[in-house]
Amino acid sequence: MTLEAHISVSRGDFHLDVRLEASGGQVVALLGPNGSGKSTTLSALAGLVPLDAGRVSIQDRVIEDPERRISLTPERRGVSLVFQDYLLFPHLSALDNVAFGLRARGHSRREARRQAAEWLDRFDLGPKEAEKPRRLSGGQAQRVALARALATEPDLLLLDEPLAALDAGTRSVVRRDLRQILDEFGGSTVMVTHDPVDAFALASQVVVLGDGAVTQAGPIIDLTVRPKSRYVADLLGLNLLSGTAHGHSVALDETGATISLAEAAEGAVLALVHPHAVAVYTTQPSGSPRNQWPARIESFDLLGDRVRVRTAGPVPLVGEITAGALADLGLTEGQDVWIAVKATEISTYPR
Amino acid sequence: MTPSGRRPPLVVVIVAASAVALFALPLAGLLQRASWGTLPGDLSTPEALSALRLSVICSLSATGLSVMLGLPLAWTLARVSFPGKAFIRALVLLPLVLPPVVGGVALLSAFSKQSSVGSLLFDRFGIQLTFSTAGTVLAETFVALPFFVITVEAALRSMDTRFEDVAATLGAGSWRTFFRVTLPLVMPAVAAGAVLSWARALGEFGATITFAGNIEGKTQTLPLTVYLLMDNRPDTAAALSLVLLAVSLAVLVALRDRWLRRA
Repeated sequence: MTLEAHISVSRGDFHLDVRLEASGGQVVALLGPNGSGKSTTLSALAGLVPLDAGRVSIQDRVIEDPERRISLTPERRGVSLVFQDYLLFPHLSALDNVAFGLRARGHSRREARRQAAEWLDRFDLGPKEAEKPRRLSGGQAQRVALARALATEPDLLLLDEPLAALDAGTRSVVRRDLRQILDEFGGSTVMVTHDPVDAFALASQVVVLGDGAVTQAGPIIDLTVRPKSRYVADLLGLNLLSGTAHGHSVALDETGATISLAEAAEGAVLALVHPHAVAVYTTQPSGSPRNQWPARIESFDLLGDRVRVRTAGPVPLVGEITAGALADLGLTEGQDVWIAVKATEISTYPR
Repeated sequence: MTPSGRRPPLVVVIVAASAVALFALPLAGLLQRASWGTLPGDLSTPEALSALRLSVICSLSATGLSVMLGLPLAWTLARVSFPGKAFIRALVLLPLVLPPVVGGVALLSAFSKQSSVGSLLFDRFGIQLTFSTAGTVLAETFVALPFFVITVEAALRSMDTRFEDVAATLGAGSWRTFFRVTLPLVMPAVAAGAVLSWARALGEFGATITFAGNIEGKTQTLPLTVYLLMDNRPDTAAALSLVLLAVSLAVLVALRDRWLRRA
């Protein structure tokens, strides 16, 4: 079941223009800051928000094409949507929640309930089938919502921040269960998330949105190797600089400072620097590294036994040092220091 | 003590107490006035029994009509956008503030045998609304329907419509979504609206007497009977008033969760 979607929606000042593809069984993570259009994209795929332009098809079935005046209603798309807060029908038991879609698709009451019971058993919720949603825990409610969505055998499953409503303790367990459920599901899945851990654990492809447009799309592993936006770099805790390369040096757009490269590049590039490649000195280091700049410490972030040092200067970088080094160097916020990066630790790629 | 712990101003307390007295004194008067010993006898006179029976039939019919007409109307006002919606809503709410006797005159103008609609109904279908039980039901529905519509429309507006979106993505068409999802979710408001409109229909006087007249056994409901008996059989009038008071108290108890929870 291959999803091919080009979604173009305008609402007042906000314009969304997104292309998405997912082949059968693939899970696509939709990442992006708040207001970037992730939820609107899901609503448009589900048929809850009409397209102004574009086209959505699943396999060979066109489900929306404004130009040809095709727009299937949500109930005829074969697209299931699981909201962030699950929205189980509060007046129906877990079993009847799951049976709802089966009844709507024409199964008899008895058959719908039989299949619903099977789904609940498969999700280890058999004993909870008579419970009303308010008596279910967050993880249980999420699995009932998934069972309800999958029971109708959709071609496309849409998940809106599936783990956001859970507390940290149950999150990892539910993530593992969700992974298994998605592995068994034959159709495509599009999942909105804020959390890179969820994206890496569950998705193989990623589409990153920024202000209504795609800023990056491709295999999820590219996120760490070649992040294309500040948003992704910040999410993963990486330094991303943009500049213009000429031979073995890059002039940064923001400050005009120059950084040296080990490998030559040309034109508009992004430069990626991992924080642990950034060294911090209290005095100007002598010796060879040509990539060294004065900097001022802005803030510290504790990450386990390591400390992230955010600096400002001609080349604003975040460095990562051990808590011991922090104490040895006696660093404080507002202090003037030197930072240095080896040219071999900087990777560049076209913007 | 106010929440801030200060003593409330004395003048305010006195005026507020007078307001309470305004409600309490007539109630106490009615309870004192009633001749409790003859109550069963007063209530089983033919006039009383006939008025009771008629009131029950007419008010329940008006409630049924209000639900049947009011549900689609409330849903349309809550979910559909169309030009002139504000005007339609104002029209629906008008009977809430309109003097009932004016409503009666208006109904008379529209449905009497002399009017175009009324003459059409009578000539084609032999239906006469004026001075008939059907007219009583119509007059009661006219004043009761707005209570149902505003209660249910408010609930439909405040409910999370994403439940309807979920139902649609699960394959439910609009009918199934309405009856299996929307209606159960707003059921408390539907019940409350029905009780409110029933209470209003039961107490209806002005529009009924103007439009349907005062015919014993046909249009003479409890309030009309009470008014009529005040002149020569005040004991029976008071007894019937007690029945209406008891009904009002029952309604208040039934709706306590909606109205009294803040107390």
